[in-house]
Amino acid sequence: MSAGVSTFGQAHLSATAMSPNSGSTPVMQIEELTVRYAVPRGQLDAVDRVSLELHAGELIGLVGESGCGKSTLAYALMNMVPEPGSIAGGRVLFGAPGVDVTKLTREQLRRFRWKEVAMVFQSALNTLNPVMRVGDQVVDIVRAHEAVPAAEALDRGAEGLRAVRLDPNRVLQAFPHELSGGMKQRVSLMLALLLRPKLLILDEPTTALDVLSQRAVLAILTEIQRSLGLAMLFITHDLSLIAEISDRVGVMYAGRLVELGPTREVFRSPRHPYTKALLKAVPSVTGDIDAMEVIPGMPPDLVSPPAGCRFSPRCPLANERCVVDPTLAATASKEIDTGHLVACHNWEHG
Amino acid sequence: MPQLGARITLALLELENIAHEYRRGGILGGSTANRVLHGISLELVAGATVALVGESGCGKTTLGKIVADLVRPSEGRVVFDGKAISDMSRSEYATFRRSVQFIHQEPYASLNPTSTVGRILEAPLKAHGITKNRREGHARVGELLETVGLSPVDDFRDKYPHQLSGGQRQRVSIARSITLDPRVIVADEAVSMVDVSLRIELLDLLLDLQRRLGIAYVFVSHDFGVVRYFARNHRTAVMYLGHIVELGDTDDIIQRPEHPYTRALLAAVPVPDPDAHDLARPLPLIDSEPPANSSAIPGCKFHPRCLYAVGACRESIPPLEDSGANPDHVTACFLAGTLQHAAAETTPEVRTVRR
Repeated sequence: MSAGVSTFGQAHLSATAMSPNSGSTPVMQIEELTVRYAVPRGQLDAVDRVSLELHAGELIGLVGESGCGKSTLAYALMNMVPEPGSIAGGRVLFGAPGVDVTKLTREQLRRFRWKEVAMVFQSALNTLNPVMRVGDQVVDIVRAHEAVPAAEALDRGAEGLRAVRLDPNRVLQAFPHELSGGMKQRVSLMLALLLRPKLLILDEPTTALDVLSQRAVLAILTEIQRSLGLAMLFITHDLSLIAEISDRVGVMYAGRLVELGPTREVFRSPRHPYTKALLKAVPSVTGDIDAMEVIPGMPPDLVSPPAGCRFSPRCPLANERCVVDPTLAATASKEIDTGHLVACHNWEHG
Repeated sequence: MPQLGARITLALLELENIAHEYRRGGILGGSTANRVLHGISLELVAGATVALVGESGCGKTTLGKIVADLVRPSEGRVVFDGKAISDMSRSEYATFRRSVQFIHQEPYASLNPTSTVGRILEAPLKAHGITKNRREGHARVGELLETVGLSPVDDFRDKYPHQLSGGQRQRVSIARSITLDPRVIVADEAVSMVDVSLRIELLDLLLDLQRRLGIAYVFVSHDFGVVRYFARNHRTAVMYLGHIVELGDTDDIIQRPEHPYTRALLAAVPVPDPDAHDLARPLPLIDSEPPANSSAIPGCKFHPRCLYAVGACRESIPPLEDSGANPDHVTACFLAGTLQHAAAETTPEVRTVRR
């Protein structure tokens, strides 16, 4: 492997600058972010030099299989990567002057989280306190950040509940266990939005829900995005969900962002062999069943990942260059169309 | 392949009017019964598949467990090979237990973490006296591993479940389920926990076993996409709050759903096409959340959420009947035939049909 001179960093930065919303300042700018885990067998980069910009009013979907690093990335954006992981490189710049989230102190982080960037988890019980009424949790959260009377906090909670199409009179008085799964998740969403964050991260927010509840949550998210104009990062393993809800989509594989582009374009003309393979491997209620194909092999062990492109051992287009050429080692950097980036030497041959 | 027309005569396993209640409470007397299945009748043809699809709480998993006799129904009979389980002699029942196997959603929970793959697979062979000695056992385990695509087999024999990937563990579960040459496998969300890229590989493996070994499947899933792939050319039953509301050939159900619930469900299933759905368009139903106290709902369990409900729907449970379009496609809805034309229409604006 020629670890010497590489133009990768430069190429990648200029590509990021050409994202479709390059006119506006991004709410968050992720630059070559690396998250490393120390495990008994060594160390692994669960997120490997990922770069991404998140803009106001835009919902970015991040899709990939388990272990691809998508959730780890989400945690890193709030600087709360669990032990034994840590941010090992790169920056996460938030806001116009560009505060680096990875450098914030504990107290700064306490004020930053929820107020500036909020998160909705797969299980509503990560957010909801099972022994507190929803209304009391609203008051707690608001007053942890702002000196306002309880009544005002409750008013805000009521407004938020209406936005997620729940009845405030009933739900503010309710304990979490009195609500259905879909309602609980809508309450989590309301709580996450209480302090008007500029970025909302949603980590598999509908995975535990039934199809009908899921659809209701998706509809609410689109409404909220339109009315509040905040940036949203929606993380899921479900390609179909991403197709339905996102404006742009990033595809992750083995810790790396391998493709990034406008959702319609990525689904109409996927460029990375992994994205293409994934689209052919997902059974859906539409589409041609007979055209479905298995992706051979399985994702790599990140402690000793393959050299070069991490998808190369499973890739039908892989050649020697994929293994030795480091320029495409990490994040999607080859701009093949406006804002459509791919980390592949051979994307034209597929 | 079984002949479609011969369905009734070839039934390998029949569920006759199954009902089931879970009881709770009762330490100080009063207990309440929660009825999770109502009047379920269903046939499974040798070598064929019936998919049970529905949301959580619809009773599909309980029904699957009843098929494998892991749960005894409160009412009704399970008939296997012409004989009700309850009437079986000890040896007939032993045959039944061997013939009907169950694959769990999460192989991690169903595989003994302290046993190697080899011992996990050998245990049922020994217990049922199928292999006479260690050499036979060793050879049979090798065959099983080969069959489910875990090769070279000697790499897997001595591994513990935690040393395997999720997909590999589910292959071990599948291998274990076929150790006793079953005729029926109940697969309960068998690929839900497995990564997307590995799902169809596992589904293909199960389909391959069906072709080679003539196994019939009761395939329990919440995922219509997976059901469409797995049960194509076979049957699908859509369940809602303990009832089968629609039953037919899988493609027919997906292309021409008749029950308002099935239609809402299919309209809500995400598809990998950014232009397929407009999320702003409301779904054709009244409430996206299931009712809190479902056992108290009279008549059709779906009527409180149904846009089309009429008086009769509140009074009696509609029978599972064909709407005249296709005798193999039955629907438990008084309005099934009349709604057919509305299948592609936009959602009615009128939402005043409240309970």
